[in-house]
Amino acid sequence: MGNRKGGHRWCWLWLPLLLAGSLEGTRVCMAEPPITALAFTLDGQRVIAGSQRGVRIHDWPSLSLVQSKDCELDSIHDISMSPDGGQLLVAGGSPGELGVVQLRSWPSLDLVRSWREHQDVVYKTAWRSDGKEWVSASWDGYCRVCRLDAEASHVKMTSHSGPVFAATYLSDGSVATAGGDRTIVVWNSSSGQSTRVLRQHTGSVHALALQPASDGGLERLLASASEDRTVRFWQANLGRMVRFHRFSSVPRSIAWTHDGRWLIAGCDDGTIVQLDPVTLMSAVLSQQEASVLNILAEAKGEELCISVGSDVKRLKIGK
Amino acid sequence: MTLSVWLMVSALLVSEAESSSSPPTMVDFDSQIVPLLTHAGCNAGACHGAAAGRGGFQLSLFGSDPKSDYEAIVKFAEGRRVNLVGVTKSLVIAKPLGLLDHGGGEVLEEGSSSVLVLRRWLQQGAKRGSQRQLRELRVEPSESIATTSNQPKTLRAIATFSDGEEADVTEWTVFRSDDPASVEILQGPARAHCLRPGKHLIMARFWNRVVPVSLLLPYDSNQDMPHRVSPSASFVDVEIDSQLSKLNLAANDLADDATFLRRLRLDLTGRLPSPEELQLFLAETGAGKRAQKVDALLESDEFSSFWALRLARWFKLRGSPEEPQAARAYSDWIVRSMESRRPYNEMVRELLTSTGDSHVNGATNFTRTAGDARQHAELVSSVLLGTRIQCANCHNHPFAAWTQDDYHGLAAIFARFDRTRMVSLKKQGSVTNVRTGESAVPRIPGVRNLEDAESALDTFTQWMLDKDNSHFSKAIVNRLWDAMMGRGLVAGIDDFRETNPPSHPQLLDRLATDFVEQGYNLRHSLRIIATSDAYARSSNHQSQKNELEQWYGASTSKSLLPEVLLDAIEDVLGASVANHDETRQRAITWLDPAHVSPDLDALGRCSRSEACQSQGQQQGLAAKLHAINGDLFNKRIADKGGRLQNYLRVSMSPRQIIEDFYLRAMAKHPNEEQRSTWLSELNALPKEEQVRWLEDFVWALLSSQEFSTNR
Amino acid sequence: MDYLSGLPKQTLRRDFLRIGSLVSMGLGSQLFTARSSIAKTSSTRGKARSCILLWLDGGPSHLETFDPKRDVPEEVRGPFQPIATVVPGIELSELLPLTARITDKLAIVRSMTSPLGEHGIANQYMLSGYQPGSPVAYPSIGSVVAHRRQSTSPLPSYITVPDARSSMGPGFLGANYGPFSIAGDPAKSDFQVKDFDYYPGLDEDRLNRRRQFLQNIEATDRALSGDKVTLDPMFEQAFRLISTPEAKRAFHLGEESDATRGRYGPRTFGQSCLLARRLIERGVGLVSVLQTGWDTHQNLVLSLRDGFSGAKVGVGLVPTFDQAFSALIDDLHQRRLLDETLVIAMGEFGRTPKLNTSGGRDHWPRVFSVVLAGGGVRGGQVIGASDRIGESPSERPITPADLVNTIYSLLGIDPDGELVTPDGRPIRINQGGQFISEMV
Repeated sequence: MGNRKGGHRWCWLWLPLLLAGSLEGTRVCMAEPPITALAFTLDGQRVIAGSQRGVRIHDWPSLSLVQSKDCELDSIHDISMSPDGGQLLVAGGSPGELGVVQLRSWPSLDLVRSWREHQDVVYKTAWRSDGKEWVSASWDGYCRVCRLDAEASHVKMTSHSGPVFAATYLSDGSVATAGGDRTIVVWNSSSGQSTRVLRQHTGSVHALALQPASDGGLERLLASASEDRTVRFWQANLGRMVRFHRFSSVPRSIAWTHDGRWLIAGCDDGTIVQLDPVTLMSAVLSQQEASVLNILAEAKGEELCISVGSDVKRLKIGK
Repeated sequence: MTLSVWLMVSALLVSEAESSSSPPTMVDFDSQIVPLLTHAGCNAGACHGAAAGRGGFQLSLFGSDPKSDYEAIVKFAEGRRVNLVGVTKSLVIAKPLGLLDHGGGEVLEEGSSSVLVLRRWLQQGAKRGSQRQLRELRVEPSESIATTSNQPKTLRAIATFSDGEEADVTEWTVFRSDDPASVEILQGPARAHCLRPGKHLIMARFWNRVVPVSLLLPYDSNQDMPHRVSPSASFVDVEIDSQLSKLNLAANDLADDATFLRRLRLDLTGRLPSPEELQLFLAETGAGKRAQKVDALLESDEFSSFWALRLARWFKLRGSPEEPQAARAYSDWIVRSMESRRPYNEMVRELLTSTGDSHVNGATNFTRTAGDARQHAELVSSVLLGTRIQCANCHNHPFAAWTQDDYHGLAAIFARFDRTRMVSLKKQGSVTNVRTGESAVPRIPGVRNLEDAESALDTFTQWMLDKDNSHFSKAIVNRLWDAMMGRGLVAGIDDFRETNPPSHPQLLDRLATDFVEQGYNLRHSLRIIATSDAYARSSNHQSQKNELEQWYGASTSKSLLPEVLLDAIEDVLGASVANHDETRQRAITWLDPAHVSPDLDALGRCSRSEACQSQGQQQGLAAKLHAINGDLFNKRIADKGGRLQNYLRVSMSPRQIIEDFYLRAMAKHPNEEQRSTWLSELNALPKEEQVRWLEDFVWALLSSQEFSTNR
Repeated sequence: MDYLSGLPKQTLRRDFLRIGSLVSMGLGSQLFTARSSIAKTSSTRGKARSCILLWLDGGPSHLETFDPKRDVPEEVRGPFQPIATVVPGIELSELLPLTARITDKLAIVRSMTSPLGEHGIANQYMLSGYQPGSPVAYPSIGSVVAHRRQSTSPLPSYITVPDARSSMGPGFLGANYGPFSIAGDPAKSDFQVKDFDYYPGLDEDRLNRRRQFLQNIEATDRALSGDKVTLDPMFEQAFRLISTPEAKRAFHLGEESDATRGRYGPRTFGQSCLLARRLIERGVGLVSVLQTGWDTHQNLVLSLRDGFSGAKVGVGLVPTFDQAFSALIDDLHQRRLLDETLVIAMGEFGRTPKLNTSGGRDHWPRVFSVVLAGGGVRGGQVIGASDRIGESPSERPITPADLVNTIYSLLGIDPDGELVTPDGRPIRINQGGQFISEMV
């Protein structure tokens, strides 16, 4: 296996030099890996961040570090809280080897069960709204559906021809997944059969987000973000693309505000853009120094939690 | 000059880090990691450098785009390829080491300096770094002459970066022999060992740059040939002879007058000398008679007519059956330009910029030869710059300096052309740069972007025809040389690239400079070539045949163009089957290859739209069967109006007939032994059989190797 | 039994006209059933005496022929389904029902891989085993066979039906080892090879005289060079062929029964395959049969299955191939020729694993399939595999150099043997290829 320990030792050896400032800010020590997963707890009091180093729990909104935990995963690409807030899925694995989904209890973070069926890293998991099953999306090109109490998944979805990066349940219980083959596939979560393939994207699709239910009872839009520099809005069940917005840089992460009025997109050029899904009016909320890998909107509706590189930050939503 | 062996040192530092107290420098992604990927072959076209990548991992071909390579390695898919916590778990190290299943196998070795540098870069946080570029790559020695002992030569590669640093990068440079049977590359340290005499090429590749190195091993090193560059020699002969002398090769003597005249006649006018012309030439005694003949032929209408065909071939003229007027206008324009002695740059200016009715204004058809802007770019680069830019459509050119931006940028210059009958420039027009997915910015390949799309074509034309643009002048003089000498100084008239250097670089420079100084005068440069000793040498039959020909110590046999051969057949036989009308057209006047002619098809002409492997005649069994049983010879030999039947009708003596045909076909007399054997054989035959005998004799004459080649 | 091979070679060359006459007097059948063999070397495995190369020009889709996929997205699987074959576990495309019945005789390589995705250079790599790019022009397989073969037949050793591609040339071996293209359509009722028959007024005597003249004239030319005084071998061959009627009979497809002609299918490719069989029966070393049109960037249903829009019975590329290929293998088998005849079906690359927007597939060299049969090849097997979607080899990657090495070995030609360029440079017949050991 790896030389994580050796790496640390090596790192510490250089620490005095770093402190002495002899390298003018260049970090000779091992760099902190980027945060590749981010989630709010149900009560909105904590933010959980995942990276190659494990899991870190921050207080919200102070962002002070509360706890660190090594999850025995080489990389973590997704953290999803269960609908009841009592458990969470930590997903990732070892690139080229293994994909892992761990069920951990909250707030203890104790490992309840883990699934190791994927042959490469798992990029995304999503809970069904009743919290009884989840879906996983992996680089190995497959998606799996698994019941919480089962040892193994009961559905394997094979309709993608490349890595799968994004997954979400739709309001009717079907699943939408998307990835490197540029398609969004809508499929039946009990049979694994695809019902629609949405092909308008011309680049890899890396994020999907379903609009929160609104008071007006309108159909919830599915938003997708792609390497083709667009965010597209869909009536996924009808297979209809409603509209799209083109950015000047690749939208890397997307999140709906709690009221479903806005879509927030974090882009590769560090911009964070607030987009009206109806008028497509957009405004730049903030300019970060690097790509915005994760973005979350807090339930209270005032602020965003984002990650840029190895940092977790707070940001006000515009009105 | 401070020549730091920075890569070596930095590699060592990793292992010494734990005991040393001096801080290691940061590993630079662009100028260290990317070159080591090139060195290991990761970004080659067969691996991750392929247009579609490999195994989902795509690198720019030979690291031409470090920014996207950095994204692919460090950022792609949430950084799946680097693990900053457990460095060895990084795919970028585990795969090439073979720790994880890797389609490309184990391409790096644990403990190698490549792995040490990679590991240290990851430990430092996989930063991009300085973003400096490679300004120059120099290899020492750049050209070397092996001595008698023929020891392997040590090779050294020195890179100069955009920040001014110079560094020995030999360890990260791949040296590849163009022909392993001639030069062998030895490792550790890199050395080149010549296995055969001659001049051979080694390619040195560092990062995204390839530099040719030439190695020369003289022939027959035991005996020194006399150095024979005469003081009065033209610059052509100075260059040719000094190269021969370096190679220790002795050139052939000059060809006799008859051979020279046949060669010159065919090269300049595409026709055989008549017996009368031959007699006159042989009878002349003046020292300058060959030069005078060159001048006279260059002034002739026959020259203009034949070289119009050559230009039409170069310009890839091809008519469409629906619009014969267009091909006619284009052909007329070329012929008129040749007749009126238009400077070549003026012709090209018209080809590049003409608009109007293509049925009237012939030059506009150059634009129409290309179906779209991309083909137009390929046509222009091939015809005018002697370069194949096609590869750069989908990825940066693997052997040449062309990038996708160059390719699509050049195409963008021609994007505004409306290529219908009325050729015009539209207000707008663009091509998509496949790399960026956006409209390409008009660009002079390898030079600069042309931000103003409106004036891009004019600016480009100006650049093309600027007297300092040696790409343009070299491309055309190389074509002239190729036509006259049988092989370009750069082999392949549209294959100029760094990795295909000219055999005589200085000569190519001189010819190009001279061509420009003399006002882009085609006749002038042809005269320079045709009056050189190199052109006038006898062809070779000795064991060193190929070497001597390769270095112009002997004349190269050229097969006649199918059009020239057909004309020659008809001239000798005095019969025209293809044209029964009074004004017999010569095949060389059919500039359009779409002109229907089964005879030319049988002789192996190739259509100008597609790449034709051999420019020569049809070879092989089918051609021989046709020679024996086909119309080509048989019909013309038997033609009642033809020369043989006429001679027989006027009862010319068999001896005279044999003599006359031999002179016409070969520009020489049969030898005495042949003549007497033939005559005695012939005289023994009854009258009627004599006719068939003579027919068979003429057939054999035209079927011979000697007749169908220019030597 | 080999009446002619007992003759000294000199006699053969000098007296070819006389032998030609003997042949026409009826002694020929013996000559033409006496099959010449390719020179054997100690290290080779081959027992094949001749080779039929079916060249599927343009790059056939592996997914619609020999490597169909199940349980994959429709854009990968394409419009057709896999079917079972006589070999349990091996599936072919539904467009190959007849081939599915002879799969027990086929070795299907599903893990061919090459970096070259442009027709010209990919052709050269597949047909020579050498990647183009060096200053050396490498000979194609057929030319090497012609070069390595000591043939007593007046027929050329290397024939292409109906046409050749430029990459089927002789390279540095020179025009003498180039292919002879029959340049006619064997499916046409008036099919004959151009220039085989005497021009009006010519006869054997005059032919002989022309040959002597030519030799005489060339001799004076070459005498200066010190070369041996011989006639251009292609002229020699032409004279021999024209004066040997029995040899020309190989091209008389009318001698075949209607049933046999029917089996191969009425189209050019089928009748070309039949002609190929007649030619190898008469001692031709390698016959290459060309099927064009496989560059299917658009509408696979039309190009691969239907052939024309509204077709009731598919006459597209694959059905045409299926009928001709299966008939050829069956026919060779029934005539007990399959063991000594290596049959190969291949093109320059495969097609993209996903359909493009025009319902076609684009060039894809990274993984594709080739098929071998006969000539000692062990049938009923699949060698190598592509990954789930037919994008890359998943096991046992095999390069064109490996394939060409294997073809030479099966034909009894030592792949490590050397050829010599005109300037005296030794070139190995095959460089960097490995024999595919599963093949035998």
